[in-house]
Amino acid sequence: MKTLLHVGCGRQSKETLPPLDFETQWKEIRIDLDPDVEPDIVDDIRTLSKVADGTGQMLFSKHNIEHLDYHEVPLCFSNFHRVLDDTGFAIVRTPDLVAICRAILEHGPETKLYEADTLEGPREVTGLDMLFGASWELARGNDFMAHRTAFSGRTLTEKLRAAGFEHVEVSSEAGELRGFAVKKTEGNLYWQLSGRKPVAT
Amino acid sequence: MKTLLHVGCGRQSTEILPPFDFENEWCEVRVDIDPSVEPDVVDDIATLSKIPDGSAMMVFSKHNIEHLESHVVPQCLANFHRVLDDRGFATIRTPDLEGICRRVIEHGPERPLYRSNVYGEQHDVMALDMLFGASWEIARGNRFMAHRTAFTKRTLYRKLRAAGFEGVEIRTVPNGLGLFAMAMKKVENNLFWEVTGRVQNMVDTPE
Repeated sequence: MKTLLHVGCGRQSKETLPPLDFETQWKEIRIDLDPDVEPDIVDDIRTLSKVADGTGQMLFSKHNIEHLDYHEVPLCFSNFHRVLDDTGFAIVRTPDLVAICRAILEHGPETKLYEADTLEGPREVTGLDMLFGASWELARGNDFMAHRTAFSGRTLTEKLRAAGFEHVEVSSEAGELRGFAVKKTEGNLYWQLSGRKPVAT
Repeated sequence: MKTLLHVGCGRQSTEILPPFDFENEWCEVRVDIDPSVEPDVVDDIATLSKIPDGSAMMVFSKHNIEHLESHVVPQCLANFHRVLDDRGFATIRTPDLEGICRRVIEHGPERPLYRSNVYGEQHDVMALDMLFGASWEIARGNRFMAHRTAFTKRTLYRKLRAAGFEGVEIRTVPNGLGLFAMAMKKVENNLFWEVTGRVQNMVDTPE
């Protein structure tokens, strides 16, 4: 079995993960700082102190790196790198700061940009929510939800490269950055799963 | 003596205040939530719970409302209004979210925009610092410095009007990265006209 490390999983369901065979090929390990969300491992995504080097073939991080302080990002990314196997890669999803800035300039920071489905029904999402975290969560004291930094496609790429990932691809889709960070280019699982042609080393 | 309430004063010196006569005419009262900056009153700017109604002629707020969470802003501005005398006014400085967004789009979030010199320390300031708070302060554990919200000229204007201020003027500061708001509790006979020597006439309302 291969291991997918689902970091900062919160209450995210398996449906948010890539469509892998979780019956016979892959095993998800859920990691979160908050014991309330019942993760497999209670751990800080910045240190991943309970996760051994080279444990995962995939690391999945959806909307959590923007909750770190700016100065903590390099440490976090170097631990994403550390816990991956040499054939492993990371998927990192986070708001696209440049897209948010464009939306704010066009519509203002407090205009509804879209409606989000939450566990409690639909919520209006504004530019401010995308920048600083979901205001309805913050208003009831859920401080885990505050965003403390943000990324452009370029800064995300640079930071992943600086953490040691040999190959990084970042695209922007619907206001979100989707980064793929390959630990070692040679023989990486990413090429096999994505059907992409390996880049030259 | 007239009272100038310096809210969220931090370590800001009296030099950043308007050039009033602090010997004979005005008295600065420093308010901050952080006891370590030795304010006159330790209080939360969102509630100003220790400041009586109508006790100040001026509220001076420089770079602190962006440290509040969005949902706390209306309460804070309503308390700025409450503690002012009817003749009083507030000045508020905060980053200009639109100016920052333009810089992010043009230069990226981490390119140094200018060099700041605060309390004898020099730091390059990135758009990210202006959005989320000074990264060098946050890196040494000063959580008070984190920014939790931001404003455009229009949203700040609306929030000040909604808090009850009769007259509001907002300018963008020359580098395009900050907003400077002036909010009068009552327009008629406001001390603002007297201290600035301006003819009573509101200008530049963004609605």
